[in-house]
Amino acid sequence: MDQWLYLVLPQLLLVGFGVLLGIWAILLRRTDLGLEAVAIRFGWLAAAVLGVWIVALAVRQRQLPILNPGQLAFFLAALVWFGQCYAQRWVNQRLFAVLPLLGVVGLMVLGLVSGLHPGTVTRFLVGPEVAVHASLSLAGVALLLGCGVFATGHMILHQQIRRRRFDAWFQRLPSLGDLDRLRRLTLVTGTALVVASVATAMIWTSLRPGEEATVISHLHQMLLLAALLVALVVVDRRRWWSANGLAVGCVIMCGVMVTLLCVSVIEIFQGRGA
Amino acid sequence: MRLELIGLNHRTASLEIREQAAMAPPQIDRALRELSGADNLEGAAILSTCNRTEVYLSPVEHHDEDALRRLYCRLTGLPPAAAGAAYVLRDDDAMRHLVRVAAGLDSQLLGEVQILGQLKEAYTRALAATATNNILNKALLRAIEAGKDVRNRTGISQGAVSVASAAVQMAQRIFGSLAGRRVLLVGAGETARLAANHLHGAGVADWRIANRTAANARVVADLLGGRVTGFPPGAADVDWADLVISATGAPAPVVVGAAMLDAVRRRKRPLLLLDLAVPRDIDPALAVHADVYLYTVDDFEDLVAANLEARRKEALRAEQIVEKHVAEFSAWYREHRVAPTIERLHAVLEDLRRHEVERNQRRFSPQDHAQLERFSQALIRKVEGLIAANLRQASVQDDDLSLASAIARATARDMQDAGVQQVLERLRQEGRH
Repeated sequence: MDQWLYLVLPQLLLVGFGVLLGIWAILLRRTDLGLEAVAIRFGWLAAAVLGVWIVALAVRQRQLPILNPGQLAFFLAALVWFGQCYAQRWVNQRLFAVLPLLGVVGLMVLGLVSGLHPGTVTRFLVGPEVAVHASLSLAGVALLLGCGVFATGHMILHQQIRRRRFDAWFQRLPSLGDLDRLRRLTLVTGTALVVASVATAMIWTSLRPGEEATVISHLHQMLLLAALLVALVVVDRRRWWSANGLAVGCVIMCGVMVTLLCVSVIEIFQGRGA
Repeated sequence: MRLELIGLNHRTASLEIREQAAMAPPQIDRALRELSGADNLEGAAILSTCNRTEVYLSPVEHHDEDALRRLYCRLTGLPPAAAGAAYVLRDDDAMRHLVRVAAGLDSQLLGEVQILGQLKEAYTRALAATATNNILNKALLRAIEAGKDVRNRTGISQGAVSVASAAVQMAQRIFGSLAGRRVLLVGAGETARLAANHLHGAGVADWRIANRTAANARVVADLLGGRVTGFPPGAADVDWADLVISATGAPAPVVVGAAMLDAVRRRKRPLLLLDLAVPRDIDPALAVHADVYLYTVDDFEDLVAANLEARRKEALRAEQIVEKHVAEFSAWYREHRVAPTIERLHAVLEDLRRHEVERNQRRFSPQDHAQLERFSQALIRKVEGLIAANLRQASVQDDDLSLASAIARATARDMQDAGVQQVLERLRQEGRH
């Protein structure tokens, strides 16, 4: 059973998403509505299998897949893909399937390389409060990564329109209006989730005072991230910058978030908290 | 294959000749009635659009080219002297042409979509006149299916190919859906109306119209359901709008001024300025920040050229899809052509088998009867398969498709199976009787 949950099924999922990435890469280059419909259905199927895997794993280890960096990477990949399936109801696919898929495949490879079996579990990773905190945090991160993708699309299309380059990027990207709307939606929702995750983490630390050393440093990074995000949301709501300026801001924010998150995860699993 | 096409199009004939050859619906109906009663013809269909008039025929035997040209001139009323502009295609070439037409590959505007509707209408008309036969029905339906397939699987029909529709495409690239967008239309001439019509069709419902002659502005406002504003438009009008289209004949910019510049600088929403006038109507200085997009006629011509180039690239893939459909139709036709002969062959062989089994049954014990039945069936199947393969091969090469020659060809082969040879010999004798 463990072999299936921690190795075989994740490997099969990686192969499936690899195939899906191949299909969408073909669709990026050429129009084929039939193949596109197949790819969308296959994407939903992949999301369902991922969902089943998460539930099975959660039941098996009595915790969400957050017990080591490998599990975290897989869980984040799943959330990114769920978000993508949801977003595809609004935007035309192609680029917006390829970029998230690259992220998903990359995270899955990372997860498999790091190993999914939890081995000896650190005590502070057990319990419902950490599940709530990690779920909120990862969902927020997934949405903010989506925000980064939409912002990148916005920047590319903006440049193509400005420079009068009527090439495939101009033809195939969703409109600036759609990209801006999705960027704002994911930024606001992602920020709310990250803020909520920081709040839950603070409650959790106050409830378990013996473990501050493990989590305080991680909390500092999350607090910094939350503050930056809130500032960006304010700028966005007030429209202090142009739409393209906001897109650039979101892409930079994504970079900062990924850096803080990497440092944070390394600290939790290999640094002081290990 | 028994399929013929005679017709002319924008590539082979001048507009004047195309006008003479064009057929109105009643004329097509008359021609179809005439063709459905003609000798040597099993089916006919006529496709007449502004760019082509083509007559598709399914004859018993192919007509010679002169006869086809005479027929075409009689049906269309084209003078015989102009008949040289018509092309004659047969069988696979005719089918290939039909599929290319349906796919928009033979259209003046590559990938245009109207042709598919026109082809459907031609088919419906021929069907209503009971002028089609099995082959033409299949050919036309296959062409329509291929046309849809090409449009679904390639981008041959994507992207605007006129300046007015390019303006809409640009607006959609910036705003997405145009429903709920506010448009300030400056000018009420033909260009302004054309662009407005395209935008109206794309969902724009909120309009302000500014024109030097207020009465003309009123006419356009009534058509679009908008309201008239002063000319030249003020800063408040530009501030109100998401999109400004200007196409006046004014000798100097009309969307201009310090107040306008201030309004544009202050706004926090994207603004699209489409200047379709020559000389230009919109002051280029208005493109003051990143959310203001200003385009002129030259930009739209570049966009149209880029779209046409993209369509041309897609056409290469479309040609492959066309070939696939032509090959499938040819395969169907070959099967369709030999099917009656194979059915007859099956009947003769089955009769022969039953007769032989009954004759020889008493020589076998009752428990062997089922085995005898199976053996005889297997043997007959083998012979039937052999002759059917020969018939299909003959169909590809357009050889004689009679049962007798198929048997002759089959027995002429170097076959080692004595049992099969024996049955073929018997079959040949039966055939003689």
